[in-house]
Amino acid sequence: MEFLNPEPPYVLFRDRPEWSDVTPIAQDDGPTPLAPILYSDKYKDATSYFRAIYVAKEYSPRVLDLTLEIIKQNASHYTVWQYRYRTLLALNSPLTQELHLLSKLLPTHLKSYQAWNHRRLLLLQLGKKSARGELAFAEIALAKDAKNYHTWVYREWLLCNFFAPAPAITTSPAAGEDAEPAIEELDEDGGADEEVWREEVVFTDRMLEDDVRNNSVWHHRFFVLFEGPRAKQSPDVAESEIEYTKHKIALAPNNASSWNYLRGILSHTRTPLPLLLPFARPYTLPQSAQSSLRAFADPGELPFLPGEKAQLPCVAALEFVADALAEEGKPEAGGVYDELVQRDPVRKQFWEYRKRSLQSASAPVGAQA
Amino acid sequence: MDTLLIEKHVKYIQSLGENTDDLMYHMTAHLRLNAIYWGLTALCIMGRPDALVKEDVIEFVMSCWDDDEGAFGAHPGHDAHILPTLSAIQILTIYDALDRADTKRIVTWVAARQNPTGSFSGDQWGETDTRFAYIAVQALELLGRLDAIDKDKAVAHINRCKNFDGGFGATEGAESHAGQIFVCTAALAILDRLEDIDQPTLAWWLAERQLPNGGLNGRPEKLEDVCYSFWVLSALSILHKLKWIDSEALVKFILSAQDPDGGGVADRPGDMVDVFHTCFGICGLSLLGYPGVHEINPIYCLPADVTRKKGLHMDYEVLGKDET
Ligand SMILES: [Zn+2]
Repeated sequence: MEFLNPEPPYVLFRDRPEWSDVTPIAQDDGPTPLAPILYSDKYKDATSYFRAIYVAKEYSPRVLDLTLEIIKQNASHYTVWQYRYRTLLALNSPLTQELHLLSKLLPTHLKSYQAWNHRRLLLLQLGKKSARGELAFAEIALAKDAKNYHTWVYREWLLCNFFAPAPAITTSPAAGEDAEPAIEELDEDGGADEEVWREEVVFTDRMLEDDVRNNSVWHHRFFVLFEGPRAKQSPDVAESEIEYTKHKIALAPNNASSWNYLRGILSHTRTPLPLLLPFARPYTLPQSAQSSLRAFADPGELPFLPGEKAQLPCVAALEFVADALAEEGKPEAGGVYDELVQRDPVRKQFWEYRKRSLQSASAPVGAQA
Repeated sequence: MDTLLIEKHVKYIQSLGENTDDLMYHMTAHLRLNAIYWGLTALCIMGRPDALVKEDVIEFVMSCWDDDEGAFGAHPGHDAHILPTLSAIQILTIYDALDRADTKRIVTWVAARQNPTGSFSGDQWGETDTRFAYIAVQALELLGRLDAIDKDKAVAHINRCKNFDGGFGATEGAESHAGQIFVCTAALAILDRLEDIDQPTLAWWLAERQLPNGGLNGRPEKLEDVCYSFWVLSALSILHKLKWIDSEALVKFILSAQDPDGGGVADRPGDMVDVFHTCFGICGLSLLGYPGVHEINPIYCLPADVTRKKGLHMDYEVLGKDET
């Protein structure tokens, strides 16, 4: 039934004629019995040949076959990755081809630091012209695992390294004269770069529509709009983001990420928390109180009220209200911290601490609640 | 399971070097030195440092030396990397055997990993990560040569990895993550720059990591995990805010992740155990003041008696110990 399986059967390196001139070197496990050896024939075979070419410092096309085989079996073997990269450079291999190959490998090795770093090294060589396609690649990778830390770090690196105004944040490869400084094309087209960052906001919209609780997306949005190299410090952005977040909170009130984002904007723009008390308060009330709230609400405020299925009261809202009241020096904050002790008992000590610091902070005005 | 199964865990760690016909053993060769450090640290905290043969371990460590580079690889024949280099230094520090290594060359190699931006790379190939900053800072501190790097630039880079939620990420622009927060907090502690941290915001974010089942996660909306519990705990301990979490619930969670038959601790109850989670589970219990275990110094993740003898930073909190 061979025809059903288009993959040719695996041939051990010791049975490959093109490797007959190499004497494999078995693993040296050091002098102690902490690490003697006996393992899968396939892996043992390939790594024995790797040790041989490593010692002989051979950089040839067959090394690319060999290292690919080991990487497929064990994507964390950093020495093999590094040797492969050195070989690619030594052979002047077409790196776009390597990038394609890696695109096929990476989705099954999303948690491999080494695989992502290999990709980063390739991009540093390929330069900005390849970077836009990489944003698309990262989005495909995120479709597989939307919270994968390496993928997000890679995406943020692409943005800072290729689309930021100079001087860009470079992760200097320190690889000697081999590595081209990949940032020389920067700022030729600042307008196009601006566009990349604008698209980035739309990208986070898409991601949040899929999963409004994905903290990585909220973080990324904050980075793009408020902290990144092309962030505009304009009150308009802050204002529209506050509206945006209120909508998302109404959609899913018990979501630490959106509440954190809201607090992030407020503290970044030095906006006092109490300004949003009218928004947060309804979320601290039980569902039974909501119908009368809706009945008396201003039509413009209706979209910001909790939905009928929301689990209320919401701990994040209680926390927001307590902190806002504390900021105003209002003693009623203490009662809200008491409610938090009830509703979020695992953090009892923390809420009690907040209540205590409230009393000491407002002590001068005699607000000993 | 309401007690720490010390005897089982000691046996489990001792057995790790024995099953070498297991493919996993070879697949994890790139973590070998780290694994020995995790095992040895766990044994020290359980009061059983002699459960491994000291001379054998030291010899194995020395066989990982990469003489071309002047640092340690994870396994004989592997390239030098900053991760196994720190593990080697930590193991030799625990055994008071640093004189066996060419520390001068190590200092040069580690210092050369600092980039012009102040960040650190893991090897000559350049991946940067705040983990590597912590590793470099700790390695040099253990060798008494923190002066070999530009400390201000290192601090400035860590500060550039700070986020609006008070936490830290792996690189500039990266999301806050409990592991990265631990390494940045501990690095700043070693560099005497804890005042650069937005402590109230960060400690609040850390306290928010505890879930109703007692375990802690590494980021919002992620699953609880024994190792993340330790990263969060360590950072809280350095900030003297351990009391903000429910320690009883966390002790219960860690104990429930033990394998009652074969020993070892898993990432969460019911999963396969490994030496990494075994180490950090036991170290977590130490910070929580669990009776009968020795004290861990979370700044270095080394036994406290070792760091005390070397006169290193000791400013952290352990529950159950008198604190003002
Ligand atoms: Zn874990």
